[in-house]
Amino acid sequence: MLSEQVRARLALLRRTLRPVRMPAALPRDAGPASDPYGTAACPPDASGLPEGREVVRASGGHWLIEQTLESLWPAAAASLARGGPRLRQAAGAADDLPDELRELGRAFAHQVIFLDLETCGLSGAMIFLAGLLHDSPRGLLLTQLLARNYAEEQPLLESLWEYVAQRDVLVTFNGKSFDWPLIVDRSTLHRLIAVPDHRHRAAGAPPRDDAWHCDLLHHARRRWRGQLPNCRLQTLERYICGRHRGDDIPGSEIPAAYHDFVRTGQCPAMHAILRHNALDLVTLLQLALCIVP
Amino acid sequence: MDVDAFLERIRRHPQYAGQLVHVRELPARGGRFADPGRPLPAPLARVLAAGGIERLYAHQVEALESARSGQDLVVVTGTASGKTLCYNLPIFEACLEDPEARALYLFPTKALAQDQLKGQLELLAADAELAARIKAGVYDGDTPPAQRRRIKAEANLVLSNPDMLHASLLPYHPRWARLLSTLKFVVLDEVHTYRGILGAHVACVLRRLDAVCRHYGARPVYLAASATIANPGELTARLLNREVRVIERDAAPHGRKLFALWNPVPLGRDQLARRSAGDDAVWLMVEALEAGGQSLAFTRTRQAAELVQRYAQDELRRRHSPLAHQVRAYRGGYLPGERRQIEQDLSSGRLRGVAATNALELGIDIGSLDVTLLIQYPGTIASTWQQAGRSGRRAGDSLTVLLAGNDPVDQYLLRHPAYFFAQSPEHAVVDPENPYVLARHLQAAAFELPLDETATARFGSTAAQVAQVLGDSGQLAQVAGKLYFAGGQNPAQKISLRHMSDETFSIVLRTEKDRVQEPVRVEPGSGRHQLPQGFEVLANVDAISAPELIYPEAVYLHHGETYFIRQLDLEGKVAYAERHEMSYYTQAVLESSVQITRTRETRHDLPRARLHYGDVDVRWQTVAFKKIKFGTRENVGYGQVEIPAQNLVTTALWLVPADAVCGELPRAGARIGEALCGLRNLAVVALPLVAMCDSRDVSGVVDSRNLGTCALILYDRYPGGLGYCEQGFHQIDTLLSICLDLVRECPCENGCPSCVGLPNLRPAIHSDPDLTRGYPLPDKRATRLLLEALAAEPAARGTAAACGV
Repeated sequence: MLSEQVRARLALLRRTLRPVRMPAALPRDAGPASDPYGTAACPPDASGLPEGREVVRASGGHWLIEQTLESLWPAAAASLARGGPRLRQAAGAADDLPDELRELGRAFAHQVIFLDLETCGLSGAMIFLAGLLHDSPRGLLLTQLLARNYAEEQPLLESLWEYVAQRDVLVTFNGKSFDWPLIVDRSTLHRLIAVPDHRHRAAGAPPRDDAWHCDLLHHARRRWRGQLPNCRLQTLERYICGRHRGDDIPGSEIPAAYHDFVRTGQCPAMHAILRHNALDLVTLLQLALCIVP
Repeated sequence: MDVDAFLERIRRHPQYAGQLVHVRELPARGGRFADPGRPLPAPLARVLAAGGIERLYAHQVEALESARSGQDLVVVTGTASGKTLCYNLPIFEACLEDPEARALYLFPTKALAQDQLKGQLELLAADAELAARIKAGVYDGDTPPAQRRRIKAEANLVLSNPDMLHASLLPYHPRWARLLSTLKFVVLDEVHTYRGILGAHVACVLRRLDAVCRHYGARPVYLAASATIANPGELTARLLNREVRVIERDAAPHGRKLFALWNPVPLGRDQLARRSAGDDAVWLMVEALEAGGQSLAFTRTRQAAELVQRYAQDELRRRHSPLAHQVRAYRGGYLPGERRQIEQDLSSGRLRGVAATNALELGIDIGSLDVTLLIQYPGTIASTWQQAGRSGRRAGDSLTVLLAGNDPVDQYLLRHPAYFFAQSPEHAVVDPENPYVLARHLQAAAFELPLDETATARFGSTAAQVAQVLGDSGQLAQVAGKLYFAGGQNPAQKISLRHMSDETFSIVLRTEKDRVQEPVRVEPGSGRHQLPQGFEVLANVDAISAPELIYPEAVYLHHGETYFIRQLDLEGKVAYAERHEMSYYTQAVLESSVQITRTRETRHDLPRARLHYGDVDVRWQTVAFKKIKFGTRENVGYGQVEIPAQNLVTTALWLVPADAVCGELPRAGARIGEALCGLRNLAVVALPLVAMCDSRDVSGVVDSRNLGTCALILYDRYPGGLGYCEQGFHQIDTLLSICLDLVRECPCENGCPSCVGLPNLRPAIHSDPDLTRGYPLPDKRATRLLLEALAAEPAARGTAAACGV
């Protein structure tokens, strides 16, 4: 039998694990219609950038690269066929599964969005790439929003909010500590959201009480504790997903590569960064499929 | 303590020989009160009454009304004048009227912020409603993470310091959006300390704050407080880049104070040498302690503070007095915990005597002391009054004694005591456009928010050019008419507001006997030292001072104890020390040279000289050191030092006497070179009277290599210059006339350390100022002739144009 003291501690623990509510976005000014699948096709002299298109908003433009998951990860269909139903089944399971994972299963895949950011540094630095994995009539899509220079972060964030606000469950790796707080900070800086109060809810906007943030780092730690040397994403990728990246750009080199890209317009590093980001998202998806025991 | 009786005792002492040159009584003064136009809200009136305050002083009401009407202000009143209420009252009132109102307080030190918080919480606690409505907290490097979150979320009043604002709050401003969007007031306390290096940095930090406030839609009112200087309005205006109202008629009551000027006795028949002011201060302090008083002695250098403590303790031990254990030293270089302990012990009365540098000058509450001893003129009138204000804060009789040193300025002031009691002529100098400082802060500003043309221009007229340089070197990138930061990590992390160079040396002590000395590594990014096991940090020293303080075989003083520097690692920025009881201490010997690189301005209006202002390159090197025996101060040996030279790019003025003058002097039997040396020594000590710097902030050489003819070059001892010699350039007439007064009024025959003397004209902050006697002196007569020649009217107008470069 649990002692009163232990019971009290568990209750405290459950309270602190309650999922973070995502503030709803307040788009600034009158922008054009919210369909992010923009307007003009990419102009001819956008050479140097990977294939994609420009998205134009009132605050400026940014680049958008899109490909189906199939084209990036051919075994996707098979993997999804195996993992998808099992994950959905977990929604109905009555055991001690954390609420977040239950919701993830329930929402998979149409109401789920996977997110991974690339930034110019740790705290306080700008977001230049937002990688998203989400469902569409064409199947799972990998969408990457890229700021081609420093001024494009704001339109990028506006597009990002539109994607994220439409889904019930956000999945990240270490997103509760890094990605999401950074998105809130940068959005505050660009005054896209009203000043958040200490409960991190946009004042005056109806909060999406039914939205969830599932940070797989925490679940991975719990699930595979003691079995792996550490819980880094690429470690999990190797041991759990059975994949090994050759020739990937180290995370520490990414900011400098981006600065070079902005200054010179040269692309080689940018291709590597986009690939790195895409692989991270694929791993995130695979982990989600295996996270439920 | 009965100060009249104390002075009588001193006068009757066998050692007394008329050292008390002047004693001025500052009579007790009642307060002038006033009432605000609109009464204070009831809760606020209640807490004031609970604190014994029935009515407000006139200057407090003036500040309140100004703040209410949204007018930025600076309050200039003395210690114990209720300055804190000048800013707290309007702020508390605003918080009561609007629960979302917030205020940011900036203090020059963490200790001051903590002290102010304590005072605020005591005040607020007196009324339940006030305490419930207004939450205050200190946000600085020591604040634990959980408290930081609470402060960001809930605090109405955030107490911090410019360093924290610069390194943490501004770079991560979205997390502070709540504070920044509802900010109603910004308090700048002790604003006169924001001059020189610190001033240049803080001016930039405040411009960054302004930019971020505008971004979030706030337009706070700035409430500044300053000690007495000649130009508080100008200083504050330059820091804030906006006009301010000056409130300076102090209406607070004062207890009776005696201000005494003391000249140590001459040694020998001529007046060339005098007994050390430090030794006299030890005598007075010991007497004051034995009379049951508490005494604080301020020294000009850290080493002097150590020596006074040491000698005072020695004397008390000799008298078998238990008070020997109640005397301490206090200075920068001590660890923060040590300093806090000393402050508390002073305040509680456990410590009876402290020898301190001006690190203890700022308003930390240490209670009321009976006697303050100022060992040599502190360098500015403002500092003099602040140090003097340490005695008698809460009414009652008190005494301040200024003990003159063998300095020209000290002796000059003894002959002109009115200088202290009249209006201060000293101007605080701050140059917000020092390019080195600006370059770094523009990067930080761009990291925080992209800079458009208007935003860049708010940093000054040269900002656009500096930004250009940053763009060319890849630190900033321009996109769509705005400048973005394109460098590495948060640039603010690498900037220290207290230094021009961002490097600190650590003095490290081996604590475990058998430990082999391993190399100390520097953590990449933060610059902190990673110490191996068995070593601990004794103290820190900035990079410019390090080569003259902790060269190999130097003796370093800490808490009155001697440490031998075994090794100096310039790469790792570490000095290895060992504790040894030494019979001597050391003084560095320096060599320097100056090269003029660019002329910016020239003045043709001097009758008999050409004057220029521009850029120079200075090189200096510690080449040797002297060993000085404790007590007797004899020179007991020399040592060699082999460390690389330092290089400094800065601004300077140079004075070239007209050809006619260069011809006149030899005809009168005087050498122009020696005359200029004398003038250099005088100018270095006179410039602080004009530019509110320290003699240690400027230096000079007499040189003919640069211009082919003898010239005097005076430069700022900081990269990029800070505006001191520039001020001298603009006020050259005042400067030269003070120099002439100094040399004319000195009673000596042929020159002395009190007028044209001191070839070692820049005693380092770590040196013993009593050692500079006994050097060859420049020719006093020659210097006087030169000064009179420079001041004379030209025979023909063409003379000035015909001279010099």
